[in-house]
Amino acid sequence: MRVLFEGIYSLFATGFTTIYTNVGGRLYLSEAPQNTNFPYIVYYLVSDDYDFQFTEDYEDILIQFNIFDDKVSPSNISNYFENLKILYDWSNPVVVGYTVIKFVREFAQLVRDDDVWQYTVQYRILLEKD
Amino acid sequence: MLGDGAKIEWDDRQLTIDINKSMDSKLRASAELVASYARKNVGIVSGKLRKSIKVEKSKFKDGGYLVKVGGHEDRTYYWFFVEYGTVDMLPTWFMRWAIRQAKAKIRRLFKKAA
Repeated sequence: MRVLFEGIYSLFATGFTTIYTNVGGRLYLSEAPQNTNFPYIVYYLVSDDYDFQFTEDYEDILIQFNIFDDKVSPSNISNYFENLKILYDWSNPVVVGYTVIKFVREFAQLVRDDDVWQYTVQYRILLEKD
Repeated sequence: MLGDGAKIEWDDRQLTIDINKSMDSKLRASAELVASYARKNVGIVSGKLRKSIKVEKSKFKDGGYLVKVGGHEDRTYYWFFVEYGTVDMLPTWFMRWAIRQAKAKIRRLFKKAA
């Protein structure tokens, strides 16, 4: 789903959004490079299910974002989460060849592991083929 | 005779009971299917996490069944990190994949029921 990844990244990078500035532009697909500076975001394609209903073609996609921050206080990462929501909740990224029907946040969870704060956020995206 | 009209009587309470019973067993079977895929998906380190995957009936009316994983009693709270990843570990999404893997079979199960 390369076109979706491009759409997600473009939305993030175009116009230097607040979340872009928050994480210094560090948004990675699937894996961050070794020794990446905190904070940063990694997003993953969890699943991409093709669905056929009536005469339309749909892609039902789950995308997970993990925001990582090594500060002691959770206040920074909480702000990053708020700004991620502003950017992506019900957003309409350009996905070439598809129309975005919905881009909905399903849940979010804040945890701390190994002195690193992690905000896990899951979105469900429904795309209709043009 | 049709010309004289016809009257059909049946006990719809029994029908409702039968439908509910059938739906309940399909719902349980669906949850068991998801659980069995999740058990297959999870990597085996100690087997504790795999054993912690269980099907439970929801405490809410019409709540169906739940596939549960992890808990504090058996110290498998780390399920979250296995499912969603950490700063050092990629997510495995063993639970979410299980739903995806079971989807087609569950659809067939309910089609058979219809």
